[in-house]
Amino acid sequence: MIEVNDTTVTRQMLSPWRCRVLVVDDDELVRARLAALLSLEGYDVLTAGSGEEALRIMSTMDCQIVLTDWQMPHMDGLALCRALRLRDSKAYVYVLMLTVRNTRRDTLMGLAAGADDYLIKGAAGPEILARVKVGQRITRLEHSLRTINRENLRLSVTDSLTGAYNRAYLMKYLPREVERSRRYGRPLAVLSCEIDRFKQINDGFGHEAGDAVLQAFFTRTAGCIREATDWIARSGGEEFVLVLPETALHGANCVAKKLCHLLASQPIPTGAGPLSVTVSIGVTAAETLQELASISALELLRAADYFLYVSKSRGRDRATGASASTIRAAMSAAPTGVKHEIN
Amino acid sequence: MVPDDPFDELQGAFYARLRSDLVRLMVLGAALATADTDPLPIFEDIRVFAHRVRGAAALFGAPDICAVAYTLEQAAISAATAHAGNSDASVCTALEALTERLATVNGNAVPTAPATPRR
Repeated sequence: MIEVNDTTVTRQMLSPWRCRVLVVDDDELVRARLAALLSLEGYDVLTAGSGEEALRIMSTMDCQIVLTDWQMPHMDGLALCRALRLRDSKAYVYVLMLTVRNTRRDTLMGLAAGADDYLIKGAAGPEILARVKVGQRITRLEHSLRTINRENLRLSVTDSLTGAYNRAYLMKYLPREVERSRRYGRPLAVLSCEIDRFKQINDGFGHEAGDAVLQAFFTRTAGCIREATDWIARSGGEEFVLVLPETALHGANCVAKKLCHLLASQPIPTGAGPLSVTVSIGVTAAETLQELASISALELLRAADYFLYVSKSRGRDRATGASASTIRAAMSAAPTGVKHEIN
Repeated sequence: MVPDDPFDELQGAFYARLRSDLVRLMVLGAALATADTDPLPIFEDIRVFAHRVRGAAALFGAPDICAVAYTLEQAAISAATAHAGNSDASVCTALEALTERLATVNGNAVPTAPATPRR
């Protein structure tokens, strides 16, 4: 796994990387000279005449490197450095201070304010470019690591076979959905789905066919729920949970029936040929303020599981459900052990 | 058509500006010489001006101008800190030195009436 990440970093580092440099100096000629130097080297260059102008530009455009003077009217380079470090930015900004202030104390002050490097005006063009290049390497590396972190985060909550969220995500975020519904007094529905006789598919047609069925189930399900609010988690081998915020029982039942029909009406193409597959679904929802106040995520899952059991015991390929007012009774009569536990 | 070298063009602009800087420097010298009240604001103007000349000269490869401007900048800071009068010797000397240096840029003649403090 480490090797994969290292390879990914290398690949990211070799890919094209457009670097934007913001040159900040109150002297127009100095700005023009530095901009010409950097542009000829292939950098995308912006200029600002003050610290305030630099911050305004950076509030609307991403700049990877800031090359700033120290002494400027109003907001000077030190203040700009401090402001940049306090900013809530999604990417690191590399700051190179370029100034005529040339004492050791000046250098320490510049670095303490947040500059990554400190260069004294009078340095030749190639040295300025070399220092900017360091910034380019560092911001590029940081960008690569951030991309990989984001991808690792996504993978840690995703089922790699289907692309649905995994059980860990379900157990972490369903309680948050319950909390949000409670806070805003909005309904919340949960569907517990199980592909019927899935073991027979695996045993009879092979695991590849079983995998194709799981993938098709997720794809078809994702196609009939709202992309921005609803979500699907694979909670077990052939078990999926649909979470539908802002949805009452009636709407959840409609989704469940649609899903049953969608799966049963179109055979799933697999390597072993098209397979006819059905799904059993348990539906529940917390709708009233009273229900929302007393229900937990675990109870919602238990209730949905109970109604899934009812659907299966009534012959499969169907959806059964009830609102939270019947949930507690359902739980007390639940014939099976707890399937879902909140982490 | 091959575009003009931007560095040559900017280098030319820098030297052109030094000529106008010479005028600005003479104005500052005259203002200091004729200051009847607290010269502190003029010291500050001189400091800002000298700092700008110093920075640009460093970047455009004119280290001698940079050094003379640095002397004037430091003299203005010291004079302001010490609440010196408008005849502060360090400032006057540095003003004259920079004036002479700028006057020799690109064939400019040395000014016939360099700024001299009144007091």
